[in-house]
Amino acid sequence: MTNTAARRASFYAPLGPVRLATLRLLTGAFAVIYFMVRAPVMASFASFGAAQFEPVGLARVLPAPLPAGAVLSLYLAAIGFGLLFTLGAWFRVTGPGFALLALWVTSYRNSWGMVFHTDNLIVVHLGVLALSDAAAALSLDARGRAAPAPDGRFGWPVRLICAVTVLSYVLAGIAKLKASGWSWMAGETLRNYIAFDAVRKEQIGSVHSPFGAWLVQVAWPFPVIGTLTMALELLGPLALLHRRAAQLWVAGVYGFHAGVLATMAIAFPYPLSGVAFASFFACERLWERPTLGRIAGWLEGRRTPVADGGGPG
Amino acid sequence: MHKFYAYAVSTAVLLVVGWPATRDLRADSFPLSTYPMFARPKARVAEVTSALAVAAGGASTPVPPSYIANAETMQAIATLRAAVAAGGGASLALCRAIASRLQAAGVQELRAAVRVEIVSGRVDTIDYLGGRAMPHSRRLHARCDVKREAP
Repeated sequence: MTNTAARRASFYAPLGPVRLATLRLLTGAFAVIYFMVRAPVMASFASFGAAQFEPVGLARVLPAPLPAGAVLSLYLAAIGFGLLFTLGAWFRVTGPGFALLALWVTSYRNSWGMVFHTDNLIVVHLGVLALSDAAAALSLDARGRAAPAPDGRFGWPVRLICAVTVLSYVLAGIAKLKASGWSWMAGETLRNYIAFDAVRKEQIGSVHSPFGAWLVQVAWPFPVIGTLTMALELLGPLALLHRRAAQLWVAGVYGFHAGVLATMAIAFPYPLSGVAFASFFACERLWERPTLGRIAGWLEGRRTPVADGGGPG
Repeated sequence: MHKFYAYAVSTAVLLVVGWPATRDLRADSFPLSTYPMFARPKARVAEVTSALAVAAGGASTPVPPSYIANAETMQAIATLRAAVAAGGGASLALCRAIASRLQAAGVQELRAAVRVEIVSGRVDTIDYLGGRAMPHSRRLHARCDVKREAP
């Protein structure tokens, strides 16, 4: 490997500021929209009994549920900070502020006897972005300033986001190995889960997947699905080594989530939106689209389309 | 200096996020998770719990999640499961809460309910979905009336 190639492969290799800024915009916007859609759920906790409160995350500091007014205030603060985070305004404050408020909102949502696993990754991604220079470009903070040159400080957060994304899937693979061993790949467990999920949802009059109900009547696909699932989870770190491996892995994991949606009617919005995997790609090329380019131009305080300082991904 | 910061933050984040791998699966929490979903062995025969809205003639219909907890199906399932696990008193309290919410139900089948039952049954899930089996070994955890105002 040449010196240049080795430098490009390093964790601290220089990268232009726009990819990191794009991740801030995408992740922040997703989180704000996600929280707004979840407003009725947040409001519903006011009618839950205190005995049902099993605090996790930041909510562990609470001995009892908060009054509805406090829940609403913190939720609205999260939305407000989320908008400022997304726009890159006063980011040194709003970055960590929104990461903490997002952790708070999701902690409270998960504190009622059901830990959803849909919020974990976005909370970690927001935390990494908050600890980085994610507002050095495409932000109100940087408006009117020349874009900084490629630098390692814009590269490591992108690579860390990729790494924690992969790690979360590796953890799911390790959990299957610990609980069921390699026999999980035989598919019987997965088949039974899909069937159980459909039955329990039907029994409470909820939406379940007719496709999943049909699929479990056939045994042969499940060893294939089980093996592919385990391979995607445990071999995820390969995605960190090469761009083509990353593309294949993301396609596979996206297919996995689409499969979960199709067979179990369980949506993981963050991965399914694609935003969770944006760090694996040259997502800054989004701004080459005319409409998005105008938004970028407005954020940068100029009319010409945004251009990154270059650098390897 | 920034390079040191980058490596320190990255090492800390990866260690913290990866730490649950060293723990028991039951230590699942938020935001740090062992990601135990669908990991444990699962038999095709399973117990399923539901809340039923029962009409005067005896016909019953499942009570949807929004009357049990909120719009989230899994939250409703967890609420039912927790109430049943906590015993008769908790099941009855949940039954009454559901019955109270049914008073304002907009759906005809739910509006016609005269009582609510929280029940569990065992079922071969694959055969059930294939139309070859029905829930059996039914257990009644709580029953309560839906109070209606006189016309």
